[in-house]
Amino acid sequence: MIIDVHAHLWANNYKEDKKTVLKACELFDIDKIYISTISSYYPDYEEIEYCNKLTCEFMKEQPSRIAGYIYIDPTHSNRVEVLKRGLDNGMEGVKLWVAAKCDDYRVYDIAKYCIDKNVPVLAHAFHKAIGLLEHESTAVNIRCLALRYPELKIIMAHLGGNVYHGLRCIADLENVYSDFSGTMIGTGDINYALELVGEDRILFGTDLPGGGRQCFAQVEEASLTHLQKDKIYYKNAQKIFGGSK
Amino acid sequence: MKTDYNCFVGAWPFVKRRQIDFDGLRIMHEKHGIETGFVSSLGAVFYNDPFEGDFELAKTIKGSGYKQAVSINPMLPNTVYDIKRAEESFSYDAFRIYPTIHGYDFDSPQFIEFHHMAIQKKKPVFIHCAFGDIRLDYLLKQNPFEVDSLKQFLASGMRIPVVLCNMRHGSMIDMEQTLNNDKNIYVDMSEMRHSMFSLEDMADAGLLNKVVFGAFYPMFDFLAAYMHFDGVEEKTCSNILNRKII
Repeated sequence: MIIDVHAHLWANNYKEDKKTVLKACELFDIDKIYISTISSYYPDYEEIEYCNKLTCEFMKEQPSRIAGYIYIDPTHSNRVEVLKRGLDNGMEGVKLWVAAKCDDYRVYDIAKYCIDKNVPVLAHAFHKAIGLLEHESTAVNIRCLALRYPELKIIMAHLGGNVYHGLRCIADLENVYSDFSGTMIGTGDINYALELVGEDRILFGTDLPGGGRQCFAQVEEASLTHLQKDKIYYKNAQKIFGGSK
Repeated sequence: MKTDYNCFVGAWPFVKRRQIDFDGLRIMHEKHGIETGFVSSLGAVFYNDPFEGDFELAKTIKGSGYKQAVSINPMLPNTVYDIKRAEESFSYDAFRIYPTIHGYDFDSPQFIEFHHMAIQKKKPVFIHCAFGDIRLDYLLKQNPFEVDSLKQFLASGMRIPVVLCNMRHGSMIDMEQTLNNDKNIYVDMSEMRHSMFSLEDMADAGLLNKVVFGAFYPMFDFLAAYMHFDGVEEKTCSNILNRKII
């Protein structure tokens, strides 16, 4: 069984992206895939609504395979309303991207609501040498959020962008998981991740529709037991996505 | 013979990498049925005397059946002498160049001089369109890769085989016409990570006969390139893995 906890539709290309996602699911036997629809870095209210609508439609079209994240811009005053509406529509997690750092004070009410409803937050994090956006989070921001809300289940995306910097930063925080979605494919990254945080906090993600094969490659190339592979491929995800109370 | 056209031995100075010695490379190749490779020294990319890195590697791979691609920085004043020393000291089969790291254009006099030399020596040139993940670079700032400049250079006609290594999937498709117009130009598979169905897209663009296998190991996970064969017809995979450029 395989659960992909990190994939997208791009709002301006969603029809093609849906096809790519489903084709990838067929080819690689992905049983369930958690999607968020995103578009611009700094979306307005309408764009957020549109993105979440596209995700919900995809969930309805493929109920057994597609699950949804609620995409939220924390700078919007209706952020908690967006969150509530998403959960009412059957979405199972929150996606925070680059509009605000994930430890911004405007994330606090989102975090509290997610704790109350037992909903995980997938937070983008990437330590970049070049091209870091003004409000883009790194693992340091993830750490701050996790320390403030130790009951909040956080998925730090992309191993924080650089496994050596990112994962070390959250290694001692049991409420932070990490996925290795994306196009960073350093040799031995998964082995290092396991040494540092153990097999129970690493999640499989692809960042589809952009690439994805390399994420399977990383698991298959790492020195893992069957049980470790199962945990990474799906068991850890099953624990996190318990659904709202 | 199944060949990896893009593999290295040595440490990358800016991010930790594992399995960086020749044994690590060989074990990975054997595991996946790769019989040989054009291997280069990662150290030589950065030395101001690349010959020293190449010479060290030559001793390491001697008798192994692997071929060596020597690293060239045409901007260094001793490039011609380095090549001469290499010829006197060991056997090599190709040149590998890194314009984004060493900072030159394809119309610079030093590059043109080197290219003429490569033609005279009838050795293929492997051009690295990028080197690793620039988002993770530390201290090093690579020049942006200029597709148009490369297109212009390639359009002049290649008299020796050229492999474009680490070229992003989108750029390969963008260069469809240039690639198809010249039988001597090839691309490797090391940057197919940006697309889920890269080989399929290459087939649609009529470019499958231009693809050679190259994984950019140990900088990248070996399987990240190799897994693009999953779901692809066996004959197509075999053609790519066994493709000879010389």
